[in-house]
Amino acid sequence: MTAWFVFAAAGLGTYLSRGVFILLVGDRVLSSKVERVVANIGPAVLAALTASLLTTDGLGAFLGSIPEVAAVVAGVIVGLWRRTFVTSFLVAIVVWAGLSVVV
Amino acid sequence: MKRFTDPRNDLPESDRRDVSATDLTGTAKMRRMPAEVRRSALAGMRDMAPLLVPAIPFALVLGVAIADSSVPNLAGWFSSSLMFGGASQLTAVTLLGEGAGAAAAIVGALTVNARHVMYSAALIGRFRTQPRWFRRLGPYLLLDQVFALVSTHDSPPRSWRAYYLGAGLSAWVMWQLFVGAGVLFGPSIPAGIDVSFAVPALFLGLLVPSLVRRPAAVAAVVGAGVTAACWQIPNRGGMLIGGLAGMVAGYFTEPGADE
Repeated sequence: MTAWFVFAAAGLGTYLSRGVFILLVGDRVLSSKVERVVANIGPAVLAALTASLLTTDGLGAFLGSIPEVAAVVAGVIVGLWRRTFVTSFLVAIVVWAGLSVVV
Repeated sequence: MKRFTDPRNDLPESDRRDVSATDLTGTAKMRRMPAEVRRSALAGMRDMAPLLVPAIPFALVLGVAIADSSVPNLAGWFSSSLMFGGASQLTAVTLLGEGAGAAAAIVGALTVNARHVMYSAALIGRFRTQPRWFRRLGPYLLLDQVFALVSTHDSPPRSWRAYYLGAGLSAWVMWQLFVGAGVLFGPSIPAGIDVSFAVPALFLGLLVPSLVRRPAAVAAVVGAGVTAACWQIPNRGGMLIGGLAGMVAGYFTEPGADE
């Protein structure tokens, strides 16, 4: 019974954490100042999420991993150049897999 | 005498063949899913597919962890629909399995999910133009993968909603199935290949092409840099600090920020 209670409570908390601002703001129009703040949360958080996943084993472990660093650099360059998700992802994966075999 | 007009005439040429005879009552357009919405939903599913591949081993591992713990299998599996978040589920199952109290397990799971507050803030603008029912249902599906896709996807509100639901519901179905498979088949599942780099590579691929504005690029660079510098903070706490730092940096780079 404890497990059911824990999962239900954690599920409610998870839902509220995902929806807190969406539910609070609703369909209200935001001021231009708030709009400017909100405009850059997406890229900031997605970049933070990516960096967080890359440094799961530590910043030193990531920087010491030639395949991962090279793949990230290649993915960023190709992403900025070609502006397509698939190309950036594939180049990063190919560089990572190739160097993982060699290094 | 009122003249009968075929309601299919109101639809684009490409959609007329899909209307069945029962739709010839004047409400054909309302009864069927518009082609644009259908395409967006399918695009959401298609874009989610590569993000789901690396999540499958995680779902199986979670299922095995549930089967190996003292948590009842049915309750453990239902955590997938009640919580719908891999890391927080694993935290709750592990803590309960080790004999921790209910409060500790709940707080542990919610701490892991604290980053989702940032997703909610980031999507305010997208959800503001959505109907109330979707503003209430949508956050339930807001996984890391769903956030990565929908935050970089631009389309009109109705299509964006369909894209969101296509991506989110396909992730939800996959998650229920593979966590269940892990619970049922547990130790007989072979060890998979290393796919650990695939998820950040996918997120990187989604992020970089979307950085067309200078403030967004500054926000991303600062966000990533601060998060990496704060990697020692447990439960991805560095991500919260990095996200906030990126948001502030982006704000001060916006034109007119000094007004």
